[in-house]
Amino acid sequence: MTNRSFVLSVITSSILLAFFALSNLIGQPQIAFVIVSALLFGFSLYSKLAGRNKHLIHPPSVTHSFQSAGQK
Amino acid sequence: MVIDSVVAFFILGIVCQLLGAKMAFPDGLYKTLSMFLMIAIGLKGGIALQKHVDPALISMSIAVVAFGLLLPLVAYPILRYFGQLDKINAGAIAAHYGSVSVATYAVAVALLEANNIAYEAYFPLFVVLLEMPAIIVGLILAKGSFKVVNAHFVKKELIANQSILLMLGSLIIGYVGGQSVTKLAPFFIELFSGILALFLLKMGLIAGEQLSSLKKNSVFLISFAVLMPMLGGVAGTGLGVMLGLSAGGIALMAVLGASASYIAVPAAMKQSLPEANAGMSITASLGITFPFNVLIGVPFFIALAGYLAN
Repeated sequence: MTNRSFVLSVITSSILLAFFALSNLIGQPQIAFVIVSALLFGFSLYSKLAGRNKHLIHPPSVTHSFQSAGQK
Repeated sequence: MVIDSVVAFFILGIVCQLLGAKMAFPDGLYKTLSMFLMIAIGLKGGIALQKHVDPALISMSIAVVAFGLLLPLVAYPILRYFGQLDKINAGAIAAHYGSVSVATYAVAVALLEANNIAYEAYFPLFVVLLEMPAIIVGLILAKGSFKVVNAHFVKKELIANQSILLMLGSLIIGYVGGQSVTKLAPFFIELFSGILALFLLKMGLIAGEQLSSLKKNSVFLISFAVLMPMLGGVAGTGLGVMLGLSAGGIALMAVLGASASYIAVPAAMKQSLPEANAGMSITASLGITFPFNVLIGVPFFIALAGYLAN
């Protein structure tokens, strides 16, 4: 998962919470917004951590130092 | 929490699919039910238009078309930047989210009628008007050229479009038919909720199938498919308020903004953008956005519209 996807999931989760606040404001609270927000954020966090762990478990591929030179 | 009985059939469909129930639902029946809904929506609008035609309809229609042109322009940069999709796929998905879902509209109408909330009779016309602009914008964004909108495209996608012909044709029949239309009412009007429940059962089965096909790395697609109905719904609510619509009208405009197409646009994209990944668009629009709208979005926008109108 890319960092941009993670950022979008955080934005979406925040907007879902804002919608929950709005539904409270209009007198018809919808807890479903909070549930979807929590599920989405949890899923994106899990995907991010799982991706990081996967990256740590596998040893980095051996490349010649010249190949990666100047990439960053 | 009370769930509408019609919507409950959608949940039943998802549950059946997720539990692995082998439910044989003939393909022809699904198509017939969607045709029934389009005709019923058009007829209802036509019958209501017999009583009252709003003179401001032309200016409203122009605003609605502009709304349809705007929505894919909101979706496209999100798809390009956050999803890092190529122009073809970003354009194709943007077209889906700019167009409308007749089934989501039908659910909103059923919920409004169940709650005795009035809405403007001419809304089927807006549904028709919102079908096409997004497809044109999506194609232009995908190809990066205005040349894609040629005579063949207009003939195939605009003039010979099944949804447009059925809804607009039924709207005209309902309007010009006078008293003779009442003999169609027992079938098309009174059976509407029952047929919609059957249709939603099938939609639940399809949505459940799409949900189970979501891969682990689909965080972007889920986020986008939940974010867009909220943005489109808020924009639709704003447009409804600006146009001075009733509570039901504001809610329907919000639902039209929030919904994503999964019938007309995929067919158009298959023809005009065969290189686009159709599975991704359908999974987002049908597997995520449609359930989100039916279960959460539509009731919320109805409540919001009621609050704003008061």
